[in-house]
Amino acid sequence: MGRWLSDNLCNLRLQEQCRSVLAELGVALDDVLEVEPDAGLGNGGLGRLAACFLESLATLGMPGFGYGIDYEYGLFKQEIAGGHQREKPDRWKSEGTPFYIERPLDLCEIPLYGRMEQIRDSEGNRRQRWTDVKIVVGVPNDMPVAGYSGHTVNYLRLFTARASQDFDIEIFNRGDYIRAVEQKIAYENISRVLYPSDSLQSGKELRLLQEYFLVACSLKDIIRKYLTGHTSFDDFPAKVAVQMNDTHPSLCVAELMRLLIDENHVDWDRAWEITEATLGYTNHTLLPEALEKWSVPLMERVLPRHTEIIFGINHQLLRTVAVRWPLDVEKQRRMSIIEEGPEKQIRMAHLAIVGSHAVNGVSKLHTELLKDSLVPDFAHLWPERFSNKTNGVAPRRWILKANPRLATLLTATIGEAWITDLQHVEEIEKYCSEPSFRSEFLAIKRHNKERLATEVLKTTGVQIDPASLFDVHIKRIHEYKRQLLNVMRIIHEYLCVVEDGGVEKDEATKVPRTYLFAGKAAPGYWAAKQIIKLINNVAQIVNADRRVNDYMKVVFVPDYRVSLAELIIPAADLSQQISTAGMEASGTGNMKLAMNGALTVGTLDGANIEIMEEVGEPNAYKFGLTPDEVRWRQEQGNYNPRQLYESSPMLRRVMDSLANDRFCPEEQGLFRWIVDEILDRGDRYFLMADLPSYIEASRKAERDYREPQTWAGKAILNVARVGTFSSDRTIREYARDIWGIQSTMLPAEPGLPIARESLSAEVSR
Amino acid sequence: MPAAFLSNTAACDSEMLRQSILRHIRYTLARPESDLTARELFKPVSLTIRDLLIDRMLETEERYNQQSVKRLYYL
Repeated sequence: MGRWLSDNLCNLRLQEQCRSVLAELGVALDDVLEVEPDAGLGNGGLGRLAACFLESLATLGMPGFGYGIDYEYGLFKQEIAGGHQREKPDRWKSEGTPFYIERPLDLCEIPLYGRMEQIRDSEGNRRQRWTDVKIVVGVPNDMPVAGYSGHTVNYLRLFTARASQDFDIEIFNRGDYIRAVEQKIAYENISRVLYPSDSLQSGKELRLLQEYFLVACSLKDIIRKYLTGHTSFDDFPAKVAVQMNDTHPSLCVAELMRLLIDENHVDWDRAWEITEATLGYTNHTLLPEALEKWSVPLMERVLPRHTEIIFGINHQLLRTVAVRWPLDVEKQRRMSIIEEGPEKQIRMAHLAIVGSHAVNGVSKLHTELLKDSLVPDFAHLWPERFSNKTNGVAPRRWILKANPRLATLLTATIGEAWITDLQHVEEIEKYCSEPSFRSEFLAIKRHNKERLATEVLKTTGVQIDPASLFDVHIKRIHEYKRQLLNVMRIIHEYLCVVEDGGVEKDEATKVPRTYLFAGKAAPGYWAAKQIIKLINNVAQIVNADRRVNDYMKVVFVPDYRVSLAELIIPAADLSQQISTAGMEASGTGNMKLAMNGALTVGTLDGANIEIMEEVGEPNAYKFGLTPDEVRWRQEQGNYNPRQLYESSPMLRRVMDSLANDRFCPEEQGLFRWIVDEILDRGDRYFLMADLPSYIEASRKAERDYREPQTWAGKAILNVARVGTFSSDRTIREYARDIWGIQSTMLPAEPGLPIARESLSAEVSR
Repeated sequence: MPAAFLSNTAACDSEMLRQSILRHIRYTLARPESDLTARELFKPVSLTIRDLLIDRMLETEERYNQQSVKRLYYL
């Protein structure tokens, strides 16, 4: 989530006042702001999206609230030792949590484990009852979320797990003190630590407990609040919308059913109607290994009643499918929430889709792929449920706060309206050829680069040159994001200088470049960690080689987090968005960088496509296989990376340098796995296919950078043309199409930039 | 007593902000106000802003209740 104090000061517009009060006391505001650690309560893009969304909801005056787990330890702190990633615990609460608002009276009791018991109800019918449950208690704390200008403040409610008081009684009764304390500790572990894998498939029980804990506390809280003003559930879907961000909270479907049926005496059919009308599901990934599945035995042991309900829901689903497509057993098997196999699995994405009235993807491409290849059967059954909601980012955070000088330039030129309606930046377009505007723009970029260079020197000891092209690749380390492809490009450029004797023929002067990487690898993801090691090894060799000093510097900046992103993004010239086409659902870093005047080098993937459409061909550098080309090769099975390798001296030279230990002279064979993976195991991410066009695109960018005026013009056009990637636009779409909520801002409040009329004009556009 | 120094125009009454910060410094640090470090000031400054946010949060909730809004919960 980042740092609360500076966020709130920015949105309340109190920075300058605070600065002067503190100056009187002899202290610099910036020093005070540096004290606060980042709240690393998410893994990467998904978590940050939630943060931007909450901010936009508040800025738009909409009643939107977040729910989360109050992890004692957030995403690990990354250190680099000997070129390798080392994880350290994230003590994000070390300076206290002054922003918390405690809510001890709103605690929730959550049942777990136990078993199903046969009983007879009051009418003599045989029923099943969930009994012998353990209770864990969820204690909420609220973090206020201020919208821009502070007219609306919503909150993010975070739950901490505590063992219930029953534990103490048990200790007393059973006399087994140590064992009881151990159990207590075990339950309180539920909110101890964020699982650091962003594409998890570990089946860990504690993770399941975390997911259920979040869902159960949230729904309990939501229902309790609803019932303060209502006596029946008839109005529930009219008063409550719940959005499931990926499948992590997909147990909402079963838990809402359970709460309605078991605790509120609603019958199944009515409960189902309410559930579907209330819930929405956003899918964030297409990669099969990232789709959550829980084994039935595990689910039965931890949540027996929910397992029962899920089977009931599935039974209903299969009946619907059978009626619609009689005799198509294959279809039933494909669509079933339960996957058959040696151990049956519950497909959480299917559960989420079945239980929601709306399902969306996060970029146009992603939504198409969602409907055409991930879940086509569901798209055929319920086409009306599926829609696209392209992601967005909060301009207050990513321009106003992170790049105050650019913000000042924008406001001085076109006024303040862009802050709450980013589309206004298109008014900048007419200034893109104006020399004074351009030089101001370049001066700002230069200042940002100097600021970043200072930080990089401090944390890595590497001196980077603000005059060089800052080429940044900042995101989680992942094979599909292809940091490896980037390194291979760098190796090629390096070898061109040291082996081909300098620069290529028709380039008069080579442009000096700083290649900057940042990002964390999931602790259990071996290949990602090796890639970090490779980057650091290449960096060490390149940076020490006098022959390329004037042209290339490579640096890996440790501990990528929101506050580091706020330093890097405003300083970037070139933005690396090079995932294998069809694998990145959307991306959001791409938007932040474009908004700050970095040009994109990218594949036609995720939101890159939409960004490049908006900014126009000459103002971005596209390359590589298209999603269709990738899929065709995957389906035909005719991709032959070894053949590409053998017919290209360029590819051979790069690959051989990895095989020959050129970049690991002290650790023989360290990078041979890369060569094996690419040449012998199919090059799943199509690096051989894309490297040549990638280098070409990269060179084109370089040629443009040689003319600062040309470059400035293109950078400014990027800033001017990405107004649609504000999360305000995204939230308005969700609000209109899925949630049915509205802005509550009163029209005539002075100083508020958006009046009601212009809001409804936006909505109907 | 609401932290009235944040008005609708978001232009703040500097004097009231200053008073609030000083009050929080005194009652959080509970020591003479000399040689204040940035680290020490983090909490009192945060608490000052928190007061403001709470006022606004309560007003927001009041507005929501008055309009009987539909609410969105994002998990």
